[in-house]
Amino acid sequence: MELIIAIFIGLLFACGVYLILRRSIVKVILGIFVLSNATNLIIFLAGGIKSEAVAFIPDDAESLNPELINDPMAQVLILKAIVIGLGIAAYILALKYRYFEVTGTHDLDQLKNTDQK
Amino acid sequence: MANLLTVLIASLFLATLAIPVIYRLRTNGTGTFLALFPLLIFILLGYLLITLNPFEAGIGDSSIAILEGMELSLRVDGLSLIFGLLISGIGFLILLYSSFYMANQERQKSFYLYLMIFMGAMLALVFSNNLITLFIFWEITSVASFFLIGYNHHREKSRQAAFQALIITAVGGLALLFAVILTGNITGTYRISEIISEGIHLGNHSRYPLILSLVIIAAVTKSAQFPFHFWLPGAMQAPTPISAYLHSATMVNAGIFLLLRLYPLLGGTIMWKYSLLITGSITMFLGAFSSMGQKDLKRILAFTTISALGTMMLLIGIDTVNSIKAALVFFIVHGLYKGGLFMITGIIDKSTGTRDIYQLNNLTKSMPFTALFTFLAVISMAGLPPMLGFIGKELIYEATIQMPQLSWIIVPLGVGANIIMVAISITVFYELFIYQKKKITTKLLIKEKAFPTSFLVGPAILAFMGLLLGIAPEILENAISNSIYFIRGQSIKITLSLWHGFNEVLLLSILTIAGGVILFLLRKPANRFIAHILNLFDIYHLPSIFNNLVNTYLKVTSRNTERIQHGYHRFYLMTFFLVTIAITSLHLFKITDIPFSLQYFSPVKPHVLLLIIIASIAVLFAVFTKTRLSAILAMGLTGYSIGLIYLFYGAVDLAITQFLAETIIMVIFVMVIYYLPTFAVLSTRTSRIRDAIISIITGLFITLVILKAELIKPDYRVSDFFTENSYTLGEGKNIVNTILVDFRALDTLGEMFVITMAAAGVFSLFKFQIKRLKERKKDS
Amino acid sequence: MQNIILQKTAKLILIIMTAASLWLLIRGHNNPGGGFIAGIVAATGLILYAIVFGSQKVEKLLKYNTRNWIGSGLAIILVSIIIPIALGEPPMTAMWTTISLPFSISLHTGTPHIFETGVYISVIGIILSIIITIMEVLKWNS
Repeated sequence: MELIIAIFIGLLFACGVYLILRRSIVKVILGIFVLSNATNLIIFLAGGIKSEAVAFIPDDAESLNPELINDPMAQVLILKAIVIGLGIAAYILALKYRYFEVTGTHDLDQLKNTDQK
Repeated sequence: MANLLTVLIASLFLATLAIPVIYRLRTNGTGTFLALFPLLIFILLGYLLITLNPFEAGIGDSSIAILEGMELSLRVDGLSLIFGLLISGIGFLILLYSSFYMANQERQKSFYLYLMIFMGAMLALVFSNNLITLFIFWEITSVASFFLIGYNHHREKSRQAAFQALIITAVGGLALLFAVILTGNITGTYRISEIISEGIHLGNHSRYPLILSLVIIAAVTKSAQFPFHFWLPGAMQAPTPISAYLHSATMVNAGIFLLLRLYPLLGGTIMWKYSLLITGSITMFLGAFSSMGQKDLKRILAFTTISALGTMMLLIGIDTVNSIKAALVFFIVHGLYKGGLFMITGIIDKSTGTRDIYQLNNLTKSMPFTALFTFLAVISMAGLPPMLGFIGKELIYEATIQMPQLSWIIVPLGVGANIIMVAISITVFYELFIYQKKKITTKLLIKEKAFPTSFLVGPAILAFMGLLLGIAPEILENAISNSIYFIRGQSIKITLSLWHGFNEVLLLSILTIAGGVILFLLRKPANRFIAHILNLFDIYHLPSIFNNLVNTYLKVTSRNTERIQHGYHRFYLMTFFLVTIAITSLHLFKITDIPFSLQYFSPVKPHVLLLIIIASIAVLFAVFTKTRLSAILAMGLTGYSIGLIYLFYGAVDLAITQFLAETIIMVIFVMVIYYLPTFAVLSTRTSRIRDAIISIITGLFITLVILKAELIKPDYRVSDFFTENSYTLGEGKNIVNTILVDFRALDTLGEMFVITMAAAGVFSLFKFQIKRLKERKKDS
Repeated sequence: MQNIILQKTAKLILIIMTAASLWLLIRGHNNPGGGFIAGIVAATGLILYAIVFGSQKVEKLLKYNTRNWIGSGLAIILVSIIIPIALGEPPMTAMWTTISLPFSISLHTGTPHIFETGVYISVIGIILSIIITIMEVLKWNS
């Protein structure tokens, strides 16, 4: 399964990179979303997918054998990454909106000429 | 006592905080108030000087450390006391002097701020017992002097001079940093007291030439030695009190201090001697030579300072007990008369409005006190008895004559430089105070009587100190013995006296004075001759060479920057991806001893496989679709599928978050999307193929990296602690949540701040734009 | 949008989502849920409400400015940090206590709960601040 997920992440990365290499800013933003999802998945895979158990301590127990579950730290990291990704997404969209409003273009190659000299 | 000193030096820095308050209360009394701080330090240092034991140093350790081994610790010995007394004493007088000189000028607050910081840094520099702190304060003096020299920043000359001084001294500072780090690595300690007490000398170490050159670069740049001397005449763009301070006791003398301080570590070798002798003698002669024929009094003094610094450098290079003694005495002599003369320049400038010595004449009647102080300072500069300057010059001659091999060249050079000094002293005094022209009489803008005492007290005290120390030089004996004990490791009781008896040294002195008088009488042809020679060397005008160098450098870098920073984000990214992949692959695929086997992997699950297929199709669709909305929906589908994958592997919280976040991103996207352009094919076919190849390479690379990482997974997990203690310590059964809000709550707090920032960013990006657009519409 | 069915549904969904979010918030420490998830659930309900009724209605519903929500959320987080300091522990130490309430209910609670509540409130504020700004500027209210 790891192999398949690794290939899937590779595909996501290929698509993301292809998108952010475009000149149209909307595609670049889509690319950033794809890349952030792919990166989260890498962390998830690094935490291990050996087990399907939920990282909860049973009601009648005091603690849990760490062997039984996947690394909960990876989940915590991704949770934070998702939240921050949400913030970044909102910000980047606002930036894009304003960028379009100011420059009137969606071609990133035009951006280099708006530098103030 | 050393602790008290620490507190007082710190108070110099802290006093800067009080400047705005004092300034508001008593605008023109700020300097007078601030003068209290160096006065206290001066008194304390005076006490320490009296109680100083000839062969002991006081170390004041404090627990404040910048890093381990970099404590702010003080070292009170003869050397630091001599420098510290001059810095604080002249600093006190300068502050008094400034309060009138700078009165009613703009930006007095910043003037005092820089001056106090400069003074504090200079004191901390001479007293620091740690090479790293010494370096830090060394740099602070460079930066503070930059602001002080460029104080009149509306003048281009001033800015340029400040910039030159900063660049040159900062180069020296960098050299010093390297030298200090190398020394620390070799000796294992940065503490000066340990280096001295353990008798560490690097002379036989293989890195010695490097360290020595670095230290000499630092000293030579700071002390304005040839070929870096040109920043000092430029630095006279500073207000006169600053010039007086920079020249007399601080800044340029820091280089001399550094050499004396590091003498136990580096001094005494052939390389040390010759490099200092060469720069010292060139600078000494060049400075004296260029000072002839100048008209501006400040400029004349600046060149004589260069000459004096060269002399000190030369004396350190001669490297005998007598020469070090001479260097120390000469430092005091020079500090006293040069500080006084600069302050007098300021007084004359204030009262007459000019500094050109040929426009001023016969000031004796109108400015009797100034004339008296000038007279005392000038005879100290010329080295006539009974001033301390006489003792200084006698010691210099003694040291040069006793020098083993090279005295045949050094003695004539020294005598030559001194003859010029004598001539200049006479010229300055004669032109200013005695010479009478019938037609032009100098008009005074402000009469001498109108000046407050605080304005005149500076040169007065300095001039009379020169006289006092000349008559009673015994006061200095203890401090100089102590310095020499720690510099050269010889416990010799030093005696100083005005009268040495009839010997060859006295003969040389008489010769010097006679030569000086002759040169003074011949000054007109001599000046013409010097002007002629200086014209010959005009193509080697160092300040303009320096400026050209800087400009060329800036041009080249800006061209290179334009080439590298071309502005096309795609090519930045391409470079980034390809370089990263190339470099990482080189290292990554060296590791080949990991067997590849499918056994390592968990079994394939059909439902997850199905999800992955759906997500793959969705993402490919998102890449190739022509409409924005479908691309977003496809993206959302990919995101949801990933959320489901999380869910299948037991990450419930993660899955919920992924679903909700994906939803909200889509909502925002859809809201914004209609205000954005439609997709358009902007790139050519070839560039699309090129990008496709790059992205496929990236994807492949990532897959390989992940597989490699999967195969070399370490046994240990950080999270085991959290898993085991989630309930017992965190009282939570949901391990992920317990980590979030308990074990790693600080991270969560940081995360909250990040998204708050994002929300604030969104708010400002949207809202402020409308305002501006509305304004623009109004304008048009 | 003047669709009556949509309006009724939006109101219903808002109630359900808010209730669900509170439930997720309370049980978050031992079961799936937690401050962030709860906050985002509540925000989703409010977003739907905003899309149907317009952003002014949501602002009215929230009573206070979204920025005040963010601020008070962060302030509550600060309280959870300060409590341990006041009790002589390092900041952010989890402190637990059991409060007995009438009707023989005992409530086991502690600073992590306060922390989660703070996160919950500020997340609602942050997300709605973003959405409301966009809706106002891009005129989604008409």
